[in-house]
Amino acid sequence: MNYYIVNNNVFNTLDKVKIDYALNSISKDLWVVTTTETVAFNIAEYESPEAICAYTVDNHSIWTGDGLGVEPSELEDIKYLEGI
Amino acid sequence: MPNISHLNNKAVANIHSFNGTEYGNLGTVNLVTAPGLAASFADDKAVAKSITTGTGQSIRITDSNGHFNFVHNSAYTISFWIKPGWNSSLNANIHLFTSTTTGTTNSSANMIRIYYHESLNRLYFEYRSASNAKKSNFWLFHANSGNYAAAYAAAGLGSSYWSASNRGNVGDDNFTMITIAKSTTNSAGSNYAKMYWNGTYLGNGHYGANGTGQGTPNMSTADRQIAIGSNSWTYAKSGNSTETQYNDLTIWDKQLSASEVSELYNEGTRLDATQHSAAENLHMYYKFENNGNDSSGNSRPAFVISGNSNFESI
Repeated sequence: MNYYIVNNNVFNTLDKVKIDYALNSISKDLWVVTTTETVAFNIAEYESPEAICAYTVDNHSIWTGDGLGVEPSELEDIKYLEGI
Repeated sequence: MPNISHLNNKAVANIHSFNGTEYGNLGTVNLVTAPGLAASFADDKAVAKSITTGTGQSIRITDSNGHFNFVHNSAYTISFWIKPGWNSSLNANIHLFTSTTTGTTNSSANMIRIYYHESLNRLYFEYRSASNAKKSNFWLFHANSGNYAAAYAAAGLGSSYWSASNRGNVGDDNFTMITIAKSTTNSAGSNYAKMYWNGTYLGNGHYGANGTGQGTPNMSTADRQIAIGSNSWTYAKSGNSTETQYNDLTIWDKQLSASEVSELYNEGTRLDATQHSAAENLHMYYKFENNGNDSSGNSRPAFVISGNSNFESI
């Protein structure tokens, strides 16, 4: 699995079937995405679920409105489903 | 003679005239009867969960006497009323009801939870005994088709997501009754774990009749800690913006039928659950009328309300 921050333009080009988890930022211009696809034009790449979640904690105001970030278990439990 | 609170299921406060006579000009109304009307009570308070996280802000029970020890093959029903305080910037999940093994910070230890993910507009039910032994299903409310149509109709949220500014179909005081009714089958599929919005069944949910999961949950009867309005392992995930209110939590040791859930909803007016037709299966009952005490008659432990979480008038 690969762990990325990407913008809307890149997200729109991704193979949605390969996406496991995706969270649009509060401002709706960035995405946390985990995917089996290799994404060259990413903003940031992380080595593990813990690492990308730690980034969301440090930058929680971008990603969540509750003062927290994304938990590693959420990456596993809340599956991306295209269109819903 | 007791005071009249409802007439033909309409709250007296909302009745402005009677047989053409303005309410304020009415004299005494003698001998009004309402056969079949469910017993209600003066429900003046709810408990509000602080949006600040941590044990010191929680609404919780730390049980040490086996009062809540449902497992993977238990039949049970968990029902509560909720008035959302979060807004559309939450962009995360909020845990509404959660239980895990007492004294642990392990989120997979005998976990049962009902949570809502705001950015996806999904209401989840899940239980697990380990990170790789879990069952779940979810219902979403903004798609009027297929497996989602029933939830779309029941919630009445339309195309917008659930929040303080879009509460959808509500009962008295803008509260919604959320209920999960699980059978003895070790599955969160809708054939076995039925979710209701007010008294209305939400249908199959995304994962359908058999649900989804990983492995085979095998929960123990270890004592549990229970949290309202947060998770029960870090006491986080409590929403944003304004406090969410919770009221009238009932826990039953059977899977309530659709008609029994409808009876509990009582057309939107919270009833005295001890008068419910299935009251012999009422396992725990919390009215949150200025205290966290159990009203089931079974001497269950009380909720402890800490920090800025508090009782509020409704």
